[in-house]
Amino acid sequence: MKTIKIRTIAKTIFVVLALFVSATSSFAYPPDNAAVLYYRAFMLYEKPDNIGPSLWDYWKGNIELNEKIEQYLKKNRRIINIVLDAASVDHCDWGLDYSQGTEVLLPPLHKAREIFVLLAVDARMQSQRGDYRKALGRCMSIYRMARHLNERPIICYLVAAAINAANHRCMTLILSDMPQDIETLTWLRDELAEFDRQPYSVKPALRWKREAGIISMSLEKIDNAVRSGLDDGPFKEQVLKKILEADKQFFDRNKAYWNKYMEAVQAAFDLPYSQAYSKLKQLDEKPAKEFSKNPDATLTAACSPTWLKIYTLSTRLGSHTNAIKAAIEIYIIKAKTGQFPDALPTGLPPDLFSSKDFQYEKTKDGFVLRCQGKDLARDVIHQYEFKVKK
Amino acid sequence: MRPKENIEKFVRVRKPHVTTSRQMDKRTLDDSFAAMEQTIRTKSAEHKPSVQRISILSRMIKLTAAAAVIIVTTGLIAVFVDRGIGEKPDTNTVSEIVKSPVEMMTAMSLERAFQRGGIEAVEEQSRKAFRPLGLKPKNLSFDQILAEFNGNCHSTGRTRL
Repeated sequence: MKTIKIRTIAKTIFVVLALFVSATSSFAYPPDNAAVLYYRAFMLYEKPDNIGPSLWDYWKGNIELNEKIEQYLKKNRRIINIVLDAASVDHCDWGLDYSQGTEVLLPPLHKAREIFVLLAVDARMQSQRGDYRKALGRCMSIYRMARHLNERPIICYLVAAAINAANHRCMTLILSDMPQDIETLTWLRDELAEFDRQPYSVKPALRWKREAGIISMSLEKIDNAVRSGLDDGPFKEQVLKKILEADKQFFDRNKAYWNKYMEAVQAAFDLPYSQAYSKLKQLDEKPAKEFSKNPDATLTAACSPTWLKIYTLSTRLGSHTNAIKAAIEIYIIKAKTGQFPDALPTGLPPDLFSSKDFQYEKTKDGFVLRCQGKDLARDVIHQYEFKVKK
Repeated sequence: MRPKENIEKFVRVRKPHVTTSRQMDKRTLDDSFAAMEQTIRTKSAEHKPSVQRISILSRMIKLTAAAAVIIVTTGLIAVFVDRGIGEKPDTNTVSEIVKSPVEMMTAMSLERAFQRGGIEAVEEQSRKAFRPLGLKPKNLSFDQILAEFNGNCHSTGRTRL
């Protein structure tokens, strides 16, 4: 009798505990999916019409803080907090339906860049107020948001890459403004090292593009993909005409061509810069050249983006990222010794145009890190300038 | 502005939209004017109005007739040029259709935008796709929400949510 009573009490306690735990988790904030919060921020944020250009000027350090910008930040404080909360969540699922292949619908990406400006403006303001840790914290949140945005479709990678590149500039300004505080700089280095556990890379996007192409190259999906994906014109008409006449063999041969083509593209991304550049240039032209003579190249010509442009952007971003990491090490030396080193310390990440160390030059305002290889698309050598507050 | 100038302006404005042969236009106008002259002459024999009045009346009729002929000719040519005389519609031709927001937001469509104009073009297309959502209402009363739920869109004016 006593045993039965104890069992009943135990069962009741278990049920109560289970209810308590489930109720707590269902009301937990922030939610375990960051995308929920980003969507909310995207919906609520209204881009200001009247002060749009001055916001860009402000975070780039071209103008000083004014009342309008302060009001703008005050008005959007809750949205900033929502985005900061979202960036602190590890998991982010935008709910994209990848079974649609290249027809997958993407989130409102333009809003992500608008939100970036909001956070960059806030970071700049924190920096001007002397709260450098908070300012750099905003930059870290922007990096995390960009990572969350970097879903499998290439376009997500590119939008996130654009945000990262702008954020590098924002961070360079803060590093140039702040005194060399060893604690803050070490914290910053550790935060960036944390990101390296999952490096920001174009490769997942390449893999997905290959899969998505195969999904879309089917009788059921290709017509919609071409109609919505291609711009109106003679090329689109020719592709649609070929699809109208297509049989199963046409799709099989086109898929085989695509697979072989994407294999070559993926391999080219792994080559050293100058080789990759010429190989991808050739691969970009290949399907368009072969399209009129070889029907197997039809769908590849329709689905393939400009790989060279994507590769160039990813190389520029990678080099800039490495320059920021190298600069932090140099700032740390300055914080420790009171002066900049005479030569670049060893073991720092290289410039990706040459795969060699950056050229380091001390200037009267700070230092410059210069790439040793040329950006062939623009025919320039990139250099990154870092200053020091006097 | 006088009627003559009105008609001249009308002809100038409309002319670039059609392509007709000069001989065809001249023949059409000559025939119309001849018919009008004949009518006026017959009527003038009955009423015998003043010379000045006949002159003004004649000029007005000529211009009105010219305008009428041009409108009809323009209309007919526009119809034939657009369709092609006796031609059946080509089912294989892809018509230019304005893309829907859904079509604009596919990965492939945005990739094309990137090819055209980089990240700025991607953002512009994304912005355009979400524009039809419209403005958020400034105020939303409880009655309006109830009306939305009841599907009574005429009671308090439909509000876009």
